[in-house]
Amino acid sequence: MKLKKGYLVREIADCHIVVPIGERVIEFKGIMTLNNTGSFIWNCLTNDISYSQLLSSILDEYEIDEATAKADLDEFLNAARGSGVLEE
Amino acid sequence: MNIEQKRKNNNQLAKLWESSEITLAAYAAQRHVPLGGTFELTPRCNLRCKMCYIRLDKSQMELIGREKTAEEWIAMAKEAAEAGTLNLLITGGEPLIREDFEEIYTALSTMGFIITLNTNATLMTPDLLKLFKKYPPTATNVTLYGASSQTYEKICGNPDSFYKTLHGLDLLSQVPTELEVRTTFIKDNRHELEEIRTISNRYTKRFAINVMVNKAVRGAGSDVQNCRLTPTQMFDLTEANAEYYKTLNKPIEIALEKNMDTDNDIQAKDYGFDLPPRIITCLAAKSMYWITWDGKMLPCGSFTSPYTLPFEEGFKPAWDGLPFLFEDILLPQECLRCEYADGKCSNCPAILQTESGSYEKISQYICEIAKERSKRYKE
Repeated sequence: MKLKKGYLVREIADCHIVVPIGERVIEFKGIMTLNNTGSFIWNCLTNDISYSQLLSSILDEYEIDEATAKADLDEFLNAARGSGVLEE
Repeated sequence: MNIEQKRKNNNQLAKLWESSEITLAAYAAQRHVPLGGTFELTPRCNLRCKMCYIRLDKSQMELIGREKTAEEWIAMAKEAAEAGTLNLLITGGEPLIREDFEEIYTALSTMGFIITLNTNATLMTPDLLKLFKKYPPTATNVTLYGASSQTYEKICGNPDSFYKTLHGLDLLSQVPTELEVRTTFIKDNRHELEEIRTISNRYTKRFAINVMVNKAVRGAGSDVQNCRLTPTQMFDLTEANAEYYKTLNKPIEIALEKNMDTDNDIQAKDYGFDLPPRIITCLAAKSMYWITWDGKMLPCGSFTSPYTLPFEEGFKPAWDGLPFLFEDILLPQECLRCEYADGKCSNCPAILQTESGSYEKISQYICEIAKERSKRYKE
């Protein structure tokens, strides 16, 4: 899975905000914000990556147990699917 | 701030937005981030609406200053984006009148702004349609001044512009943008609410009205005395349209209003903070700004002065310096003692300056509106 092209992540007022560019504006469904883990996952998803690769990247980056990482990842992926930014 | 604290703050922020406890604009105001900006690309307009507060002929314009070039606007947009501008309103005059509009718009569309375009739609062409299909503005506001060519002749000085507006709306309704039709009501069109809204609804459900006619600013001239409605007429029209507007409830509209609302309804004090400049009760100069066609940064388009000069000193210094210019300005003594000051009157210094020529003088027009509001809405 990877992110569709046409989105920028902008850092505004200490927040990471996903902004659609050009034709992606059509799919705008409100403002999507990323927390730090979200931002990390977002960066990983700029290239094609599998679920298990994503999970191990999170575990390498953060000192958290697998169950927490999995919960964070699933939450993010659900939100990303809801916003239509993911290509699977 | 360490990463975990920052993460926590971001999560809290997201929760606040989701529960509508705070708008992004208010969050930005607390940090003095210039979230919402307006680029007034030109004072020129092909229409001559008699109530317009901003329009200048080319010759009048040249006596005052010069329009900033496409290159200058694009460079300014880059600086604004870097400083945190997310919502950008492109307006005029009529922005489509600029020959280099496409150049400016294309560049701005790829910088990560949420763009709103204000236009009278009369200058829409197949080429512009192609451009907007490729880079749709998130929202587009089109002004419609009457339900017939006769009304357009009375208000805008040109009967054909009615048909041109409808043609422009035909083209714009093919663009995937949140299209809103807006009407300013004056004496000449005040009986046409239903008809104008019916026409608007052929293109979009979003229909908003303006009933307040402000005096002209920054060298423009208008015939406000012969245009203005009485306060009773103003509130009658507002109430007649409010019920209609409330029925609109699409998710994107909620998202737009939650995150992009820049009008005076957002009172800074409602969020429990009191930010400089205190004389300004909305978020202007706190998280909002306006850059005029000749390069002045103002809290909003209703101001004339004081201002900073972002094209000369740079965007960030101009933005940071803006609130300090208003530090020593006080409202008129009468306003401070007035029974309508708490919520029934916007106590807007920009309107006072425009109406009475001074921040320190009251305006009969504003007082009468506040009285009528107080009479109708006791709470």
